[in-house]
Amino acid sequence: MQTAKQQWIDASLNALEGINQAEPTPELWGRIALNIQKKKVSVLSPYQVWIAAASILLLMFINGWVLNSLKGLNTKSKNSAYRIIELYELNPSNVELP
Amino acid sequence: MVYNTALSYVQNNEDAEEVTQDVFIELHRSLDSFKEESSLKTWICRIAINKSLDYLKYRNRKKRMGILSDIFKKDSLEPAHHIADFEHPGVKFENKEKAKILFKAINTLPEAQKTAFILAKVEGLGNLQISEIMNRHVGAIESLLSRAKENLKRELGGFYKE
Repeated sequence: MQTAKQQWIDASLNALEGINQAEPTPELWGRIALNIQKKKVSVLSPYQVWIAAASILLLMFINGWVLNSLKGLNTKSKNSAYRIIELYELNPSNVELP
Repeated sequence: MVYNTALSYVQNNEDAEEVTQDVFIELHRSLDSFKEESSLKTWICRIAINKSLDYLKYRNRKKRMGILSDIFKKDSLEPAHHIADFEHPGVKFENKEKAKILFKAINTLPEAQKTAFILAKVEGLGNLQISEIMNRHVGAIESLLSRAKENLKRELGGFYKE
């Protein structure tokens, strides 16, 4: 014969008999939809990120190349200018040229 | 089903809603990678269980950190992180008090036994369905349920008042 304690334990073990499903608050579904929308908008695809990075690198390369080309021209032009100045003695007071 | 499962693990409405949100966001993210090796319901259930267990681990970690910094409330000796008695809203009225105690006891079960018991008793699933969800043989599920019941009986014995 079961003791009162054993009967109580068995009854407790069966306390979930006939349990119904719990339902969340109706607002939960709206919050979930909002969170999913937020995640859709904020994520860039890897393809977009790579295109942006490649474009920036290309621009930096072109910029550097153009600057280098201009530097060469300036130096070349400067040397020609100095030679002409010397040849025709256009700087009699020997002011220091840039 | 997702909310009901989460609620049985975390035993708190707000936490269960947070877990449910995480599950649906994960489902939305991973739907493309669903390979149809199992049914959609099984897959969803697995995600719900994993997210619930992850949340429990996170909550326990937070509790341990809290215990280190502030063990007791200022005006009483009650531990600051005492979890309130959980009343599942779907339990029959005549079983509410015993169900409260049972859920406390369920908290003490190891993860696998807890999962098997919740799926069987709260979700009302058969052993075959549980074996698909947990990816174990039916025999292993029967063993888990048997051990869960033994552990719960032992734990419930501690709550009995003469």
